[in-house]
Amino acid sequence: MTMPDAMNTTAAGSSAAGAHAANAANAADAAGAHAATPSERPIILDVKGLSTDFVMKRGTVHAVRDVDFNVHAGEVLAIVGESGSGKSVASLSILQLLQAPGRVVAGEVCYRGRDLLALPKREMRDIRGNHISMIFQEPMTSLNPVFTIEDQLTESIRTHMGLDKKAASERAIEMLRLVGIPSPEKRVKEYPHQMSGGMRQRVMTAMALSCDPDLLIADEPTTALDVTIQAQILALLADLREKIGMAVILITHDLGVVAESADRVVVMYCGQVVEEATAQTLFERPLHPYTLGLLASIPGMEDTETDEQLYMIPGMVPNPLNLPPGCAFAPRCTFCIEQCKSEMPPLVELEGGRKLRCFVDVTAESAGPAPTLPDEPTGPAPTLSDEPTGPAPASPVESAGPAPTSTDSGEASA
Amino acid sequence: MSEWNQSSVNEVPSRGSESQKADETLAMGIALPDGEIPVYEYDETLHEKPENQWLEMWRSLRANRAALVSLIFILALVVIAVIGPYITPYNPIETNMSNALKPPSADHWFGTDQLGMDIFSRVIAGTRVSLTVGLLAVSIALTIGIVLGAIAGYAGGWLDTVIMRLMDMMLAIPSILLAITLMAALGKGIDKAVIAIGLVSIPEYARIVRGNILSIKENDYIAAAHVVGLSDARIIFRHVLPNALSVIIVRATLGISSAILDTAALGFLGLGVQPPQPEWGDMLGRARGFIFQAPHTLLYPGMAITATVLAFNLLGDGLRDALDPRARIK
Amino acid sequence: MLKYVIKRVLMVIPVMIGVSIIVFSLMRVFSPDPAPIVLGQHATIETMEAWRDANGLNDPVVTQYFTYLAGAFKGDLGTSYYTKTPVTNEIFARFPATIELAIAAIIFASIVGILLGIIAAVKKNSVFDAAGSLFALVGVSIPIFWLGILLIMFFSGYLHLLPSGGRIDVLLKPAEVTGFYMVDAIIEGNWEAFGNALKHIILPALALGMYSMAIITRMTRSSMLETLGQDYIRTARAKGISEGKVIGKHALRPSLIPVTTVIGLQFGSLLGGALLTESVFSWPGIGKFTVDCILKSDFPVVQGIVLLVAVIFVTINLVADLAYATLDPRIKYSSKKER
Repeated sequence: MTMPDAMNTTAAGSSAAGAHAANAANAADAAGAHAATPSERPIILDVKGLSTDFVMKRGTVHAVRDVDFNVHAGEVLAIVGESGSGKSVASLSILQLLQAPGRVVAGEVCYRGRDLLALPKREMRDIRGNHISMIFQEPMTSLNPVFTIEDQLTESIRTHMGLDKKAASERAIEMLRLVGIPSPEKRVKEYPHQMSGGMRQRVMTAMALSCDPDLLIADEPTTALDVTIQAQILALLADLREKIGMAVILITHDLGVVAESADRVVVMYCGQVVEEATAQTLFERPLHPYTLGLLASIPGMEDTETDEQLYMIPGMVPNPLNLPPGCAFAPRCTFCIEQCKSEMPPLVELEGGRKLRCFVDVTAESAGPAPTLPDEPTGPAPTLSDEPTGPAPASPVESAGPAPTSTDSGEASA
Repeated sequence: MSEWNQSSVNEVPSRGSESQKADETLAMGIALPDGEIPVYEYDETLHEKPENQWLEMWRSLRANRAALVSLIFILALVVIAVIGPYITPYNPIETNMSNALKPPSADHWFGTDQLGMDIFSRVIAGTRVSLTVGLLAVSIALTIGIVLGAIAGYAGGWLDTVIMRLMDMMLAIPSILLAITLMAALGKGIDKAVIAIGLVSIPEYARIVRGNILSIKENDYIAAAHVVGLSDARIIFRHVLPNALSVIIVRATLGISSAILDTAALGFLGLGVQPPQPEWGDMLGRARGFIFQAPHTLLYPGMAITATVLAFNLLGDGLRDALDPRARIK
Repeated sequence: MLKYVIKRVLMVIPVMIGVSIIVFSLMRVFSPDPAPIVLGQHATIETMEAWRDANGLNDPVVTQYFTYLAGAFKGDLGTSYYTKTPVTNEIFARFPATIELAIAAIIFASIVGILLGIIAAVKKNSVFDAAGSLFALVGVSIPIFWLGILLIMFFSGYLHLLPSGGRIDVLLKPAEVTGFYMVDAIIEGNWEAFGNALKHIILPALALGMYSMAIITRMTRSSMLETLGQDYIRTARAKGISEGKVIGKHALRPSLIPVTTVIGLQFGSLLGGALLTESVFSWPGIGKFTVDCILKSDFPVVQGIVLLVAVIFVTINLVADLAYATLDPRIKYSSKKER
């Protein structure tokens, strides 16, 4: 669980700033935010080995298994995966918002040098809504129906910023203006049910931003909204990122959203990180069979010409109480080889900050016949012959530079 | 292996290159779209088969220990009610003034009351009265209530309004008061009490059935049944009522417990059985004056009422939890 | 909102008329002839006939009804067959006692019930929850009159702590202003009387209110549990406010809305339960009086009481409904434009 030294040159700088010097740190980040590319800015959130279980009568579900990722100041990190991949649970775990029977069982979540998972409740409350905020998927039900917008907005402002009623109210109106709600002075006195879904999502965003957080966790913020509203919300997030240099963890299952808004992407499947790359590289050169499948399922403009059916990844997400031994994606993977069925591939770091959890090199020029629809996988992988043990695709990296360090992904915890 | 791209991270990949990638991956031979075939099988032993609703309910009930105990207790009560009067140690209505107000002893487990009658025997004999009245009253209320509710819900219009206003009027008076007033009109006696308590409980069931019917009426499968040509009555009985059945069963069970309480209340006020017939409430009413000298005369009948009502309440609660699909995921 | 209020009020009127018809028919039409009961078995036929004439019992039923109704609007509910005093007098002499008892009971039931319900919900599946639920279960299962008897046995007979009946020691009775002894005592500044009245009301209020308390506890618990599962509670926690505020403000307020309706309904059933409690505690209220009159076939009085109780019950339900509409902004502001 140690960070490879190949990454992160400025990790030391981020841990120095104490959490209380929020404004100073923010300013430094803001300055840094516009300066370099996202990956070169200081890391503000570092998740290491996060594991979360749900203990139920029928068994224990390992919703999040040994997940690592980090967020740089001012960047947009997208976490992609289908329902059940553990992405939402991971984000709730960060802020300790899990309810029984969910429990974080391992890992560290370092925010500006402090492990959030080890914080006492009072200090955690100081972080929530203040330094790290979260907005949720269902704007229709995420606001309290019996209190006015003003009431709900000023609540966190007054709790964290200590302003008096009038000042907090003014700030609330400012925030509403910031998120693009017209006539905020009037709307602030209304109740949530008097607003549309898109409006409510904006209000939630305003609420989350009201105390100038460093990091916003947005859990499927647009899933419950129309496509047009979705575009507006995403534009809003991008705009805010520009203005205040805030980092965003964008959780979504929609690759279109990722393409539009993300700097870096983490792909999750069955509670594990299976691939990590910059958005650009992920779309141009996906390396994990699951990512390939996801991308292949997106209907393209050219597909309207043909009569071909839309592609679907074969099979189904496995029952979380009964995960397959070895690689979790193996049963559905066309590149699957013997090793995949019995051994869990480790998360390997490749050049350029990419990470991959796979034994197989999917980009190898397959002169041989592509695997047809098999009942069982046909023969050895199309590429490397020096396969059997050890880390994943060695050739490109070997030729490029230093040996990849393997992020220890531990045992499959099924 | 091809080289890695060191492209600028701020550049968003265009749609074009993305779909091009899709084409390439297809060309690389990822399996044809056929969602059902996994690449290989592994042992998936956790299958969930759809189950019969009633079987599921029985299972859930069985798991609820309190409800199970109550069920057994109630069955025991039924047995006592049936054979009780034949197995009592003493004749429940035989008085013996010289033996009056004796505290519990080996001879008289619950002691004797102010007329020398054995309390234990009277409590046993009283079981029959309470259970019978409870069951009968609820049966009356159910039958009339379901019919009224079904008519109101299904017919709609003015018939619905009239019936529901009638129910509202009945509900405008607290049930005990209404029952007592009915008794004033009908006269005293346990049979009149059954009718009174039964009538008072009608609105509750009428409302449930009506509500259920209203919510189902809009459903498409009712329209489909119409189209196929089923008669209204048939639709009600075969499609609508079974749905409401589970709610009705729960309410009826709880209704028995309140009927028993009402019976005891009427008995306490002297409006129920005629002396010297044993009835728990009546026993309490007559022994009231001896509250300080002979508390045992008041303890046991009261405990009998409480235990019985408790059992029905627990059973009703257990049934409600068992029949509510949401409660299953604990 | 105003439209809703008016609509609800208008709906009450036909119900009240219907109630009056029901009660009237029960008493005048379906009841046995009161003459023999009032005048005694040995009265002559002529006496009974004369009595019936005098009391309007030989007129057509419909006439009787409208005469009664007309009188009712003027405040005349007839005269007691026995005491010959106006029914209204008889009722209002005794009513304050019952109201005072009912109010005491509902206050006890609401406060304790809501508190227990909140604790049970917040500490779900813990010892507190189980204990609270058990308490509530026993509360709905135990007969009111038996509970009263038990309380008297224990607190009065065994501990000698509280009196076993009556409203107040006769000598301490305060000057009558409202008819509520505790209020009158305060008005008079008579603390001894207040304390004495309080001691007398505790046990009956406890017995009367227990059933309602149990229901309120259950209702609060399930309402809180449902609210605590809502998304907006998660949002509140994500804002970093204290857990106390999350529960006390964000969860409690929406949860209490349905509970107020339940409390309103319970008040009505308390009026019914008062019949039994007053018997046990010799509380000089309307309840005991009603039972006596029914047994005596003093129908005018019974009619008047039932009618009055129905009016109160319906009014309280109406108020509870309106309160619900006022407390829940989704109903209160539903007429505003919803985008």
